[in-house]
Amino acid sequence: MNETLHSVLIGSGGAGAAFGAVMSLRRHWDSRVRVVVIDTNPARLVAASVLADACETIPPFSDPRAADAVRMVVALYNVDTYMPVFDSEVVLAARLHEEEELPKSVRVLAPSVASALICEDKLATHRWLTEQGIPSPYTCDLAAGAPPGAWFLKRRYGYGSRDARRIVFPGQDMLDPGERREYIVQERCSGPEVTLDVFSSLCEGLVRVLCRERLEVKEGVCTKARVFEDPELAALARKVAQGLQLDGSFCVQVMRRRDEWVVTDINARPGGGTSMSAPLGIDFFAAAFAHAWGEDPWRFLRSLQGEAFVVRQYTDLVTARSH
Amino acid sequence: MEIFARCLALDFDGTLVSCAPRQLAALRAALSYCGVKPVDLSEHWRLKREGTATVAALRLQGLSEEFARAVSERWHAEVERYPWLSLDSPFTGVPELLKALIGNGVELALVTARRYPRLLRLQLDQMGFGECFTAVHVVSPTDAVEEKAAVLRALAPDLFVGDSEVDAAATKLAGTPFAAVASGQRSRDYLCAVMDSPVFEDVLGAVRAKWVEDGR
Repeated sequence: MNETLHSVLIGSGGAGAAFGAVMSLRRHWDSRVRVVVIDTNPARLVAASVLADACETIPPFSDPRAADAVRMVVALYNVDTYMPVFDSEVVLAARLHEEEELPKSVRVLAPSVASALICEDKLATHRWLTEQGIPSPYTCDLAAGAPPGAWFLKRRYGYGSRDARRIVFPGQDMLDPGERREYIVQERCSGPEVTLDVFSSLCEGLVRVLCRERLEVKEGVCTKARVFEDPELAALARKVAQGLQLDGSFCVQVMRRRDEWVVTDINARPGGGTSMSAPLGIDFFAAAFAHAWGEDPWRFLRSLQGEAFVVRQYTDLVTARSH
Repeated sequence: MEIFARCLALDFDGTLVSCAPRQLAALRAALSYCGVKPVDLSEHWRLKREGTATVAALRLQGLSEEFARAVSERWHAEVERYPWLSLDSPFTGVPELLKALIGNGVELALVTARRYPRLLRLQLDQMGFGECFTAVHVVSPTDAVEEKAAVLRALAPDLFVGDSEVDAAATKLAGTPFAAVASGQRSRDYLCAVMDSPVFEDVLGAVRAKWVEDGR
């Protein structure tokens, strides 16, 4: 109980995925891990700070000073494991790791920089998927001029469905030419919209995939889900894992195009809704940590018979109080 | 493997599922709620496992009586609620053990003290234990000894497995054979000091010992 096994840094502490990661650490390793969270907000505005041993405020990942801040936190808390949870943070973490800006002993739960860059950029994701022969909705750069028609508009480097909407182009995008550079348009797909929570062990050549149909989504995060397993979708996720060499836990978003599944997005990290399967004994965060630490990840990935419905409710936490 | 027991009664927290992660997470939240600096949680848990009450354990870590009481009160109000309940997880091998026992015709009864029986039933369902027990008895934490004893008298199980001196006292009152486990609320040293019953590392050890003993 007294021995601290690991010192873990969880990025973007204010995000739902970070709270899920910290809950998972506390559930399975309890106080044997030191948990440090970082966020752009002060600790009093970060839910995960309640369960963390420390919470540090850092600049946004778009700020060049963010890298120094991460390095400092890693050194200050003797961090040995770093889980980034925000797409641009995944790229930064991968870079810090590849360029040996972090001590070699730090396990960074991120893919290669090349894979992280593909996953961060929806246009690059589409091109990569097409090259691999993995079905993906036709996607093009809005600034380069999309063919006229009905499209789904997304930020090229967006996350959590922020600013995503259906449009008819030209005429309905309501963007000036400068803004258009930040957007892509994607062929419209039909439901159901399903997130694949994936655990991949490259050294074993094994993947475990759980499908989460997004029955309700708030602020881009699934709040009501139907959870099930599907061999066809598992095969799709396996191709993505192998192609991008994704090791650990990550998400793939899929929808329907006529009679086939198409990949609409890849997140090289667990998502805000990933922890929804934890009550079913399927904990992708725990599997990722166990895998990084050479423990058995499969004990956290219990099999699921049939389907289950999971809904999410908010909780109220007092993070700070003065006397 | 042949099992000679007819009915096995089991405690829940600390016996079948972990209890430290939830208790310590709720303590972190309670400290934060009361605006008190974090304490050494490993030390707190060590003290609790040695039988120290929450207020006393907090006092030993330097909290004033007023704050220790406030934190303890908040902790008690929170610890059996969500989201903290979602930190409970079955100990390794427990789902398989329950399945094996049921497969061998052993009746399983759950006898546990909780403030919110409905939340316990929800947890059982979520963990896939919903169908494992022929009876689920939830007693009040404030009268746990007497109420558990009454339940055990009525059930007359071959053995009750639990993790605390409360469980031991209840079995003594009911005349039920008892096996203590050091996987939960109390340490092996503490359990050995306060009771005569055998103490095992976990429920798997306790049940295995029962099989061996009865099968001899």
